[in-house]
Amino acid sequence: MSEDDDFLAELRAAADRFDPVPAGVLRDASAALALRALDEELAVLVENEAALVRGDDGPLLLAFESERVTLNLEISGDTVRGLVTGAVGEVVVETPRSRRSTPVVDGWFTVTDVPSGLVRVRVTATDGTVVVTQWARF
Amino acid sequence: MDIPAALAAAARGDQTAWDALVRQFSGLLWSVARAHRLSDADAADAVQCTWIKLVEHLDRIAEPERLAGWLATTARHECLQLIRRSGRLPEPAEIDDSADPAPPVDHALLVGERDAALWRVFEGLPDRCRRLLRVLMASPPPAYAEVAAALDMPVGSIGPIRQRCLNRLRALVSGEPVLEERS
Repeated sequence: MSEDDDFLAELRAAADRFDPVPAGVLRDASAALALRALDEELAVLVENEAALVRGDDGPLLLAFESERVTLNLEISGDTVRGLVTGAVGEVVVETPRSRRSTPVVDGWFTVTDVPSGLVRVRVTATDGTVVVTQWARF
Repeated sequence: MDIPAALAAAARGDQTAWDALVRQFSGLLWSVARAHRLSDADAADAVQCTWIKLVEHLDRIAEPERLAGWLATTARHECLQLIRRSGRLPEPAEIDDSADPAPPVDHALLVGERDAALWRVFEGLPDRCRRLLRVLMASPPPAYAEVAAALDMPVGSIGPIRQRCLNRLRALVSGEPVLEERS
């Protein structure tokens, strides 16, 4: 048993040397705390049609709800299209590394060139409360 | 390390406490991603998404003392989502043609590098063994419960499979003169 432990320790040393955690990964992890939504109202994912209707190339359909707003997202490739109710002004489409504001026209908004990974959307409810969705992967 | 205390502090916005958690568990998360044979970019993505999920759940972790298991499970889900998205099979063929950096054995012989040769031999292990050992190789060493969460395996199976896989690796090592003479 302890012979195995020694061998594993040797392997661990090799992994530390040949496949260490990249410094950028540690930096991103450290910075993640700042992405916390502290004062915002959270819009929770209530519907995810990915598993049901999404083919390999079909859009990802997500529905979020909070007390004040509803948000339906349709993500296709690098384009995020959304329908929002109960909000005013612009929406902000966020990834861990980017934020993009876009106007809402008749309830709809579209943002292109969104890098794949995680995305969330920030809107302002009619009473001024800022609402942010949970993170969604696409 | 007092993990529940660090979690509670991080939930209050304490960056130092958060960074301590990052230092403690990034090795485990990176190993889980590599155990799933993710590329550099995908592994970085899976680890970052795991940390962001933790940020989102900071004040909703049901059992703070089991944070490592929660992180390992979350990382596994992130890895599987990435694999699904890229259309790869979750259980790839045993021959590894991914771009894992591993200096060739010849180079290792030249510079007398035992670690390099060992790493090369490890990369040639059958997938089931490579997966398990890659997680067990995390720094600091993970508990079996965390390894089980990372790979969706019964905790009780880890010890026996670990032993078999290490024996298998020893057999491969015995075919490498640079390793054999000193092991």
